[in-house]
Amino acid sequence: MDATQLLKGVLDVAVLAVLKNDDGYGYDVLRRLRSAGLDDVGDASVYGTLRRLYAAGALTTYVVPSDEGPHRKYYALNKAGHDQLARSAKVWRSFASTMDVLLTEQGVSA
Amino acid sequence: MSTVSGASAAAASAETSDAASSRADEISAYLREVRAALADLDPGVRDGLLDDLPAHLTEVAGADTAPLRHSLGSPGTFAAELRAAAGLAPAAGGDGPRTGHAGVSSGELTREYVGRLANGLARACGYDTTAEFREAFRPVWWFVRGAGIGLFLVIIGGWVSAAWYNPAGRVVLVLLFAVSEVVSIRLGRVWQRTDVGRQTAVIVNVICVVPMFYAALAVLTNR
Repeated sequence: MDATQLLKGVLDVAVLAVLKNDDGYGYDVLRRLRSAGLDDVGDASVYGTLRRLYAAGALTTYVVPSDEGPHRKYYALNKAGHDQLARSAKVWRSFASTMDVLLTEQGVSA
Repeated sequence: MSTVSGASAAAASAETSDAASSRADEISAYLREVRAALADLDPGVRDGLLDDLPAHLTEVAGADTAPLRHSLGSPGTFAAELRAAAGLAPAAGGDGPRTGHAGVSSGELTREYVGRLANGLARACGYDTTAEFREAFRPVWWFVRGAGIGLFLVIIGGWVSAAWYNPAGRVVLVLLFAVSEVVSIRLGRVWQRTDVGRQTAVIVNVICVVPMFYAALAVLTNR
């Protein structure tokens, strides 16, 4: 199975999760996702997702000047973002658990 | 010996400078091509999508010596992925920016032209996007708002004529404006970080525009 297809469905919750405790700029978010094991995540997908979540009102932004180059736009979860993360995490856990039970019942080994 | 090593250092420095310049050109070209691939989008939406890109390309170029096209794919592919992830429709085949096509409302056309004008102004001032220009210009607005807060206090206090005609009053007015500037700039830095802060800023901005309008009217009518 291609992990890229699965990733598309859960990128929102993954991005919200890595921003839950620490604000971050785009490249930083990308690094956090990759270091968490999501190696296939694309740069543009992360930026597009950040933009969409921002437009949907789940994130706020602020700009921090950088000595090393262009300014960095930091993203932070607001209340709507925290609520969305909580809801999405619940859906994901329920779905993953259901799939796990289904595969186990059918004798499919891990 | 020292002359030889000095010449080597100079050559190495020139080579590094050339490499940096070539990398900067590569970043600019990549950015330009991504922007061109998003040319059909509303300028505000496009700027929002591209706002982070200069910083990102600089980070990618700094972390890896491989060409950007190798690390990120072609600019066209990057733009298509960006659109899809942002939930925007794919590019219509070869369509350029909307220019008076049937079905486009006058409001959309106005936004298109205002957006282009803003983009042109931003680029003329050396910025890649309108958003970047707006961010750079923001402290200037904070300064202007500081003057507005000062005017507001002066008008509310009814001190204009009383204070201006004696030296101590002028000192008080200068101090009042200086404090207003400091408060406005410090609050601007804090307010931009949260939703509540930005909403508060809008209310204060509206309050400050009124005395500025009043002052401008007073100057124009020579009162």
